[in-house]
Amino acid sequence: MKRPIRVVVAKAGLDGHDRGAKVVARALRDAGMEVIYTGVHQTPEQVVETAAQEDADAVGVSLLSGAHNFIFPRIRELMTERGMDDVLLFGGGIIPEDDVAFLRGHGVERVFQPGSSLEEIVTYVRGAVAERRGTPVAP
Amino acid sequence: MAKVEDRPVDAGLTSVKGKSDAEVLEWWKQRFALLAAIPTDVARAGALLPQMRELSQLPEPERRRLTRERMKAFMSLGSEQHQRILAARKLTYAADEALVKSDDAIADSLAREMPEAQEFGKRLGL
Repeated sequence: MKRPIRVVVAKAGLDGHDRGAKVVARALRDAGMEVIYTGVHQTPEQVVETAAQEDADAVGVSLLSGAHNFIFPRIRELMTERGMDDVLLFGGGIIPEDDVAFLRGHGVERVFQPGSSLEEIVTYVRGAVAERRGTPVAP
Repeated sequence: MAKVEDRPVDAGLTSVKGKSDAEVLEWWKQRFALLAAIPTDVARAGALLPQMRELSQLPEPERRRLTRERMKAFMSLGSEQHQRILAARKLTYAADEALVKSDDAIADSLAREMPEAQEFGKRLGL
């Protein structure tokens, strides 16, 4: 049986602006995925704990505070410690182009910057999770 | 009728109210790591204010207890993190001087009971 994609959408760090994260969460849900939204002000430890508890296929992190170069690598480090290397980590927010390569080098597989479309995000998550599972995914 | 705003100013801090000192200390350490990671002083100052506002709304004994653990967590940071937090804290006076001065008063009062805090303050020139 094909299991629906489970995505944790997280607001990590200390910015409280989560409209974008909620819009993305809804788009993923409308595309048939199971979405767990963490709420704002999550620590990397909380994000990874949620992803582990929820058996997530993917973790999408929204960051607008500028702390992305600290928070993303820390999340990936904690995921690795817990044997979650198979879980997709992607992100979005106000992230300068100059930082994208650094983040990719620290296990953030895709960074969606302002202007990214919801369709682009949904298509990417579906494809990336299917690639990891090695099989087509529902829906 | 106007809606009454009853949400916490800092939901994260609200979540540790009533928890053990060790849990509160660990929470503050994580909070400071997030604060120090914010790249600009102004944005960091903006992130410091909600926690001070939340603390200011607590009953005095709990405010003092959470502030004491905050001071311990701050002392445990590296020197670069100290500088980043202190630089931001200076800016918070311009945003809400009365609030920050009341926070200072609590911290000063607690420091008198914490020899390690007095020593630490001297080292940093506080």
